[in-house]
Amino acid sequence: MNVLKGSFYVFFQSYKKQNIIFWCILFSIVFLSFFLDSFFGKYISFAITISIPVYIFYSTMASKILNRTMPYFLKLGLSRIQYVLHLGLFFLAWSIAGAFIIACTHEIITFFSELLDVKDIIIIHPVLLFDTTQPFMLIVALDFVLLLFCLISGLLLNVVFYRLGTIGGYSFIGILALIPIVMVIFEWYTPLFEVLSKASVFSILSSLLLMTFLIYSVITGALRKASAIPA
Amino acid sequence: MIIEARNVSKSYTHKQALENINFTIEGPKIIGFLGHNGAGKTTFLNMLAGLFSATEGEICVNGENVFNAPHVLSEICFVAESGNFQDEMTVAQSLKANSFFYPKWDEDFAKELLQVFALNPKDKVKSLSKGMVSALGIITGFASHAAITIFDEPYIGLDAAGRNTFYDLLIEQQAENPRLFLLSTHLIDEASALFEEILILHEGKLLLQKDADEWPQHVVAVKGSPNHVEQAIEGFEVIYKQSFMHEMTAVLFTNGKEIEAENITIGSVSLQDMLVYLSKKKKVGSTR
Repeated sequence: MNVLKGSFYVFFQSYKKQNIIFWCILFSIVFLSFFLDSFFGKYISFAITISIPVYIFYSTMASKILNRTMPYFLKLGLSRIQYVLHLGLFFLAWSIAGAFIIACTHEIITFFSELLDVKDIIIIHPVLLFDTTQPFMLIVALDFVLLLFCLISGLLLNVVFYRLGTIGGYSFIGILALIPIVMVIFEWYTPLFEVLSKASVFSILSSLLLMTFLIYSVITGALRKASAIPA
Repeated sequence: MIIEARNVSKSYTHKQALENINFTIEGPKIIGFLGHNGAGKTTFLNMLAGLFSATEGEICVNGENVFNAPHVLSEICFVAESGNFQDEMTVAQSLKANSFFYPKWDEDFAKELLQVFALNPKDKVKSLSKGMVSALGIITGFASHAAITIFDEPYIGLDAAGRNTFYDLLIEQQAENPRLFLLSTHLIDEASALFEEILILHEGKLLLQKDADEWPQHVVAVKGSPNHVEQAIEGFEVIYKQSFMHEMTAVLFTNGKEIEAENITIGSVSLQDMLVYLSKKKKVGSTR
């Protein structure tokens, strides 16, 4: 338990500064957009997005986390399985925190829009695809799953580069880039779009969670005997 | 604590770093882990700390393989040349992080050592000089109270006063709280008096493992005329041989055997000189 606390302490301290800077910039942009909208909203419509920059930020952070922290933790005596487990738990906590911040910001903006009678402000969020009323818990659930997926995907990319080196990493990206091309050639996008549009939010969330878990299992297997020095 | 290396080999894509290493060391003791650059010291120490897996063989502590064994690794504190700390963390945060991972962490001692090495706990690791980071590593090593404490080039960038403080602390700690210290360094003249046992790696192989007291009887320099020296060294393993004017010097392993010959002088060889000879031998070998 002490070791888990220590891991969380190190992860938190190592990423505290980046998190503070990111959220400060994001809130400044949101505040500025809100301010502009309340004055110029009559002439032009403003749209705010909070969640999408967070997805990008989380993916970017996760895509470097292995190089930054794994050798350090191994030196402190953690096994690879322990490291992956603690990292997974940290990702869970980080996603929940991110999801709550996003949902709370939505609520605050909505509250102030109503208070100041700013009616035409649009908050872009994936939840709009499923429910235009934007319920708080649905935003939290959706963001939690999407943020976790972003973190695990970023980590997978880091693992590929870590284990296979630069050539292997870029080859992997090349293979990933082939997927949409193959989809267009075989016209898979139409049935895929149909399936997605008909599926309920819960089935999409559970599919994403399952995929996240599968990627996490692959990562665990790939790091079982990994060296402290990247390939 | 018993460290056993059993048929340990490690190869990289284009290089064989270690080749069939076998030895046993038992602590508490201060062990000098020596060799010239590229001899395989750091590779071995990394494997002992569980950072790499061996290509063949295994490294065991008290009979248990160290790789991916957290309960064994919690007894090992590895202070490497670099990369011991997270750049974004402060000195105080780094020491606090250590306290979670080393079961016998001594916080008061760590604070005391911060003052000895004049480190500001609020400074970020990335803002520290090389010598200060080394000092932080030394503090970690001593305050961990780990049964096996490994120092791999622990004082890069530290001045002579800092290095002396390190040697004093090593002696003091070994007296008060005995453990197995493994010290790898290139400043052998400074540290050689501290070693109770010496291990020398050469080109990925274990060349020698001896108690420090036995050293003068096992490695000697023979001087004299070439004919006499050649006669005297027959049957011994020669490490290095050099002729100058009409005098020949040969450095050899005697393994305790006496050299019986006339008109020669037998002298002792310091650890530092021995490594210089080994390095010369390597260079000659590689140019041939």
